[in-house]
Amino acid sequence: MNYDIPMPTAEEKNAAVKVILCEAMPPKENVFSLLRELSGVFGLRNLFFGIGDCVYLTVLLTFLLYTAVVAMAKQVLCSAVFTASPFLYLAAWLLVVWKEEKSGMLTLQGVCKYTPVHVSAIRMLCFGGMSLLVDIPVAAIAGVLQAGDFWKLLMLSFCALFLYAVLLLCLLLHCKARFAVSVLPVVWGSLCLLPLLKDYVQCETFLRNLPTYSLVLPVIVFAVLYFVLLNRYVRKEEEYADC
Amino acid sequence: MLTVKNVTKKYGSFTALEDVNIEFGIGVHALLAPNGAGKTTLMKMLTTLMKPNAGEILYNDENIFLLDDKYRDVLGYLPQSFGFYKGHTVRQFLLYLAALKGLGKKQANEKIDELLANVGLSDAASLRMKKLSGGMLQRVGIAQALLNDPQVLILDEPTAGLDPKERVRFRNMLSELGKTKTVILSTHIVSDVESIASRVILIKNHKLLCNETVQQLCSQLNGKVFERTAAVALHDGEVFLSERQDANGLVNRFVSHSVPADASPVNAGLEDVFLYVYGEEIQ
Ligand SMILES: Nc1ncnc2c1ncn2[C@@H]1O[C@H](COP(=O)(O)OP(=O)(O)OP(=O)(O)O)[C@@H](O)[C@H]1O
Ligand SMILES: [Mg+2]
Repeated sequence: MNYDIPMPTAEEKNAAVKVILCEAMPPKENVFSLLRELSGVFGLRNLFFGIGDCVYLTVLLTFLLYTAVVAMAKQVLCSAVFTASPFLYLAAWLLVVWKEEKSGMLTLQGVCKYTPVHVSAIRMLCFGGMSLLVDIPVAAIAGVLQAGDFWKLLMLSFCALFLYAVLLLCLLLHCKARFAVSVLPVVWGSLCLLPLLKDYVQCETFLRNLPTYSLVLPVIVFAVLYFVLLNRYVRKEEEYADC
Repeated sequence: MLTVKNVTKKYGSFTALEDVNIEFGIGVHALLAPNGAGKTTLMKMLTTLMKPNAGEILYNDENIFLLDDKYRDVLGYLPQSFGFYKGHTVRQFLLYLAALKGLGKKQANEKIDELLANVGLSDAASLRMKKLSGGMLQRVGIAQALLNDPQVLILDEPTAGLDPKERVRFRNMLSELGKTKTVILSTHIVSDVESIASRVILIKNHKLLCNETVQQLCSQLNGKVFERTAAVALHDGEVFLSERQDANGLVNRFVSHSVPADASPVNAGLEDVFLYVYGEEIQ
């Protein structure tokens, strides 16, 4: 009897293994699986590759702005905290997107396994976390110096931060990053400053009279929305041809 | 196998590529066409940087845009020009791209050493990117395209800026890679691909003109290319290709469909085909 079974060549074997691995790999269905996958190979150094100066400048500007807010905003403390709390997130994105586009590296990054969209999603979590962390001492210091209610200020800043982040993601999902990050600060500034300029006493009274517990729901809703949209953003197909 | 199926790409109302069909198998495929023909446009679509307006691009019968990161995982690309952060060293730049390609740090460092040696830049690993010359930068670009051992390697004018020694080194490297991988490169420098391309693709008037071997292309002009002293003007029906200087003065090279009595026949090369096909466009 002839048992001469044709065996695959080394090349065929490798190709088959590659196909199996490919099929078995779970798709990046959410931002957390992406985070897990990336944390194995990426590290903080790569996450902030080329944008360390942007992060440094953002932190510096945030520090200056918050100092000014806390020191001067006795009459409009709640409004000022609400308006200023997304500043770190806002400035970080504006500077990072501007620098990445200027670097001209996006065409190289866009053909890699992990694209700029993937990296941006992880950076969003980072900048979001940094913003939350900054908001806590700011609310505490403002509470002490300006006799404000710590929990109210904290909830106001979380609410504003998640709202800003949600609005940014909505824009990023539908248009180019450079448009989204440049337009939103203008929109945010107008929405917050116009009512303040018109009648700051009424704005401040409204925010001051809001019971703290009534802010918990919007914070939760915006936070959930943020993660839902972030998951959608991770799967966004972006064209990097003109970058 | 990478298959381009009925692909059309428009920029606004301008059609850059129309109904293009190409199959890229293992081997070196050279896109040979003059400026503005649509080489970069085609490559940007092959690398998922840009979507076609019509048609599809398949890798092993699956749409590359649906394969997404699985396709990019087997892809290497050298753009016609690329940016970088000036203050980083060559190694830092390559390590970052290696991480984006999913390589661990140890594996990446080993691969970077190997690739820098292959492109003759072992001594430049710790140089800052802003200090590199044009040719060195191009070689770093070639190295980054090979970081993930790609099955599909797409190179947009890879030899631009390389000196003759580096061109030869690069040609040998491509020829080796072409034995097991799909290599697609664009160029207008005929000598870069004449000896190594398994297929030559010509694009004219935004459409695919032909996709053949060098021999097949040259055979179309065999027996039709002649040389004659430039002192004699070209006769009717003769198509000028190029001129060169020899010991007796200037010599014209031209295509003629009948055999002229006063000219000597020469073997047709790929450059003759290129000049014949794109003659009017180039002039
Ligand atoms: N972003 C764009 N918007 C509008 N037209 C474009 C754009 N990019 C390219 N084109 C046009 O499309 C055509 C093909 O351009 P492409 O860059 O693909 O040519 P190419 O063959 O790579 O040329 P070269 O040899 O000069 O690199 C050209 O006529 C060019 O002007
Ligand atoms: Mg080009």
